[in-house]
Amino acid sequence: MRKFATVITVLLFVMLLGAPNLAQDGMTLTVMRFFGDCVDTFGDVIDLSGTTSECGIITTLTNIWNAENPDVQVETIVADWPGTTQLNAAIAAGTPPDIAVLHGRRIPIYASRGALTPLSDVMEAVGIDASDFTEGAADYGIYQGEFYGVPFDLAATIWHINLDLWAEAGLVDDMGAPMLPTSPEDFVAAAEQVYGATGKPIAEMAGQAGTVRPLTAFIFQLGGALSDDAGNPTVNTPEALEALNYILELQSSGAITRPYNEINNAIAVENFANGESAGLIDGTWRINGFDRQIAEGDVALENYYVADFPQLFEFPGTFAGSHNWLVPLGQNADPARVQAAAEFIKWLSDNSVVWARVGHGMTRSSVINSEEFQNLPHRLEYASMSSNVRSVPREVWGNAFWAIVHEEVEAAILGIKTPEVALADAQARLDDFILFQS
Amino acid sequence: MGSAKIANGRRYPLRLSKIERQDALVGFLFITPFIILYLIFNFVPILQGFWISLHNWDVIGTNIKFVGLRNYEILFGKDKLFWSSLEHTLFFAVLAGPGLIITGLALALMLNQRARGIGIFRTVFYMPNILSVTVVGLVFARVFAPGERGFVNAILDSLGVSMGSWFLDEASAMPTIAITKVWWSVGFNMLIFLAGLQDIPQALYDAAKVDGGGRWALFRHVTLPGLRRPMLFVIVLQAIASVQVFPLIDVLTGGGPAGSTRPLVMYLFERSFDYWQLGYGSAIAFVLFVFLFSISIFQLWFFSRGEVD
Repeated sequence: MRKFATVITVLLFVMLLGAPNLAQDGMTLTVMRFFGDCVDTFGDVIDLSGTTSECGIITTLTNIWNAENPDVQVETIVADWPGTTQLNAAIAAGTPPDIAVLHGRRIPIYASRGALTPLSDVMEAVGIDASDFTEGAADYGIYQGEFYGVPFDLAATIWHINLDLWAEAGLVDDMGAPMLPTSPEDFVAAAEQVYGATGKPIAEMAGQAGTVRPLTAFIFQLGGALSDDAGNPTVNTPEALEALNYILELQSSGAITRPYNEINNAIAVENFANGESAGLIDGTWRINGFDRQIAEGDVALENYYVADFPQLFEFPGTFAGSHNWLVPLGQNADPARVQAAAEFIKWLSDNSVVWARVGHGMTRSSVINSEEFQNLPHRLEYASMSSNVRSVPREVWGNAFWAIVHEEVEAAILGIKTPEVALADAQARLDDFILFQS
Repeated sequence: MGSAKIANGRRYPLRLSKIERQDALVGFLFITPFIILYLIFNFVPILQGFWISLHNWDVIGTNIKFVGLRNYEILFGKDKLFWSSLEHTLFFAVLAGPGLIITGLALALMLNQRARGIGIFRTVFYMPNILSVTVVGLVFARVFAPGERGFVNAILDSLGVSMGSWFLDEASAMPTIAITKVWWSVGFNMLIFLAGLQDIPQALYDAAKVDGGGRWALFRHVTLPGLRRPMLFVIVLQAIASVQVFPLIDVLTGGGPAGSTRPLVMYLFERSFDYWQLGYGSAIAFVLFVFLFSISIFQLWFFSRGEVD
């Protein structure tokens, strides 16, 4: 009897040991992302109605996935924006997350070092239709012809407009839309008209919204390029000089924006919300915030319109970044994990119309053409944005380009350097960057 | 005892007795864990940093190529940003250092009283030191904000003086950062000086008074010499902290406008982490290490001249 009891006890013990293993038959994916931490507010929420913030939406989407997929649970690691420091540390330590989010321009340097898992095949396997991405958007996820990132959105620079102030200046048409300028001269003339009528600037530009973003947009609009045939960065070009000189003209006119050294991005946003400027050049990520403030009635802004970044030269073209989901498990990752990661990414992509509530542009034609997307506030006002966006060239210097050009354009605006010297210095710094790649 | 070494006028035996040897062994055993940890976490990383600086080395540990001293050649030969960052760093140290030391000493002298409620004042003056850099950055971004939003500009406006943004102007950005640093960190120096002041025997002041010494003479001939060691400690720490400045500037200006407040550590970070050039960043770090080490040795030598046990 004693022997029997011992055998039963041992069997029970073995079964108890085995029980957790049975529960662990499923998989846990780690997702490293920025967009903030809002577990306190959205930790258990699985209802997306009314949620418009980046953090709220992504947290709720993850909660829903976890509720619907008990076999593949997703664990979130919240990284500080822009997410690179923690991701780099994790990769260097040999413990990368299964999925991460990064800006598209950062992908090439990771992909060139073999840190990212190629996704083209697995995207097809799980049903992500690459042909559904708009032409401009697909570029953000691609490096040397291979998808390494799945573009989730387009975070573009746009023109936030206070319609009441434009109406005061007689620049609103019968349909209630602003009469947008279409040439460099028109833009300055419209600014003077608004400033004359209201005493307020037409397009406040601060920080990067006054430097590298308009510079690249105007270079594109002038038909210029940011790289040569060999894929090396080129910023000391006639188009870049013309674009920079025009930016200096805008900065010094007084009617376009307050002086660069008197405002930062936070103040420019505050000015616009408080009705102290007739327009603001900034990102799509501001849209839902302004709408919310208007709905709550705590700002002077009432009639709010969103226009594309002004096209003032011959070709369409504007800056946009893109948040991309990627799999930083390297070239020889476990196919089962990659497949599971791709399925989660597909699910996010399929639900990206919810993400559009923030104000971001979408990357998939099927989403852009959906009724739900079209019915979102302001969408028709800046509908052409998705086709006008241009990506920074898909080269390893994409991110360095951004930081260096911002700093050198800033030096030109503040009068520390002449435009020629600023562009020459930017080129020299980029050339120096390339030297380290060889 | 055999021959003896003479130092500072004392005789030290060279050969130890058995008991002294046992004591020394026990002492070494006590510090062995620290020595091991120090070697693993301080000394080895310094060597490893130097080794990395001899390579092209991506931040994620890929693309590793031995390049010898090429990174140092570039650094000293043609990297204008390295020199301008060093210049900004020294400018910050010159602006903030004296302010931190003089203000810290002045506060310590004021608070070295036996008065009711003096503890409250000591706490209040020390409190900014416990704030995080982000909080300090956000507060001072508001204090020096442009237009009427800024506390300082609102006061200046009422006096008829017009100022733009303190942090967006090349001329005013670094001095404003230095002011912020002094407000934030002076409490620590104050505490060290206060402890030093309380260590000075009252008898020295009494004797100086008997000799007819006035307040200035007491300060010059009793207080300052009595604060020699705390002063050395504060100056060395302050020099190191000033040369290593980074988070405060990152929060307040991000190194701008146009890179005019970029300190050396921020440049090191940019090259290593934003541009992935960990090898080059390590070369900057190693130069910084040698620079700081030299300054510290010089300061220790300078302030300990003529000091006797």
